[in-house]
Amino acid sequence: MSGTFEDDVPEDRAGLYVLGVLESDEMEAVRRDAARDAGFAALIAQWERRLAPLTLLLSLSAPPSAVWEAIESRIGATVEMRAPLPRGREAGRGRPSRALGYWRAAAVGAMAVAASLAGVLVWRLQPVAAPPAARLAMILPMQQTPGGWLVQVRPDGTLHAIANGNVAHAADRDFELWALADKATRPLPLGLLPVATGAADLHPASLPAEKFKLLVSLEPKGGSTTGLPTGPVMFAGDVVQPPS
Amino acid sequence: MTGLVRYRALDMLRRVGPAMRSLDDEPEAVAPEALSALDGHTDGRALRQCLDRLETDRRRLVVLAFVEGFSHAELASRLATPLGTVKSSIRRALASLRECLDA
Repeated sequence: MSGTFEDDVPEDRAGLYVLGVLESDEMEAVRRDAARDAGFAALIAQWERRLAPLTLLLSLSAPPSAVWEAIESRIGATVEMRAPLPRGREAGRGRPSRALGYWRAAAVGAMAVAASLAGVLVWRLQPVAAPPAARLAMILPMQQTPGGWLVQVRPDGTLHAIANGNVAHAADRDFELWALADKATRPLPLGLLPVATGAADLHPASLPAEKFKLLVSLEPKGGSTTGLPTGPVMFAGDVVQPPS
Repeated sequence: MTGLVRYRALDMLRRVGPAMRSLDDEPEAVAPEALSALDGHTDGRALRQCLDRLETDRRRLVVLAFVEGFSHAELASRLATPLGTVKSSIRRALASLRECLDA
């Protein structure tokens, strides 16, 4: 797009990249150069620090207290989980533990960011000619762990998941995606997620008919065998309906 | 973390292309009062002060670009401004911001 782009000074290119005004080919070129030039990568990191506060503008409507109050209503009163082996007397099915409450609380913070980002995206993706629109979800970590996914929920019930490049995982584990419908307590398994910079199509047996959110749990290789999450729910995201 | 997701989102926006996107509504984030969302953070306050020093048109370009993910070309068509003007305005805005923030 930009004929003089290659001549640009690195400082400018880094700033334009972080600001987000470059075209695809220009963004690719910046990433290639950053991968082999630590000095250039450092310029990008500096610009990310300078402009980072602008992300506050992406979530204008999420004061912390409201986030906390929204915990129960946003993710449901309980998320049923089933461990492969009950560990103690208290391991009653579906009983929300303190730990689960913590995960739930953390999820809402991540989802507030995810929902506002995805909201921006969906607004931008609103089709002019109105073919059936895919829904989108940004799946973000609930703690300070790296990683996340962008998930597209297609009108035909399949999903396309793109890993954001930094998902840490052990070789003997998989990340499994779940759909949790509003007011439901049993998540539906959707499939295993790609890691690193991978992308994958998922073909779940079914999706909830109503509005749902997406959860990601850490599971043994190959996924949960109980039909419900067995490991911790580490990532979450809201599925956003495009405006009709 | 948010940054990585944002770049992915930008990739996706570029892939979809401008033809698929609605450019009708005025994003609320460019309203001057929306910038007060920056005031709760130390770094945010510094950035807001530096943004306030920019000419209105340049500040608007920077915020629209970051918040909405518009490319140079999309900004030009949306604001009915020549592409070259958009590019040089953004470049000057970034240079001013860098100078102001690093001072």
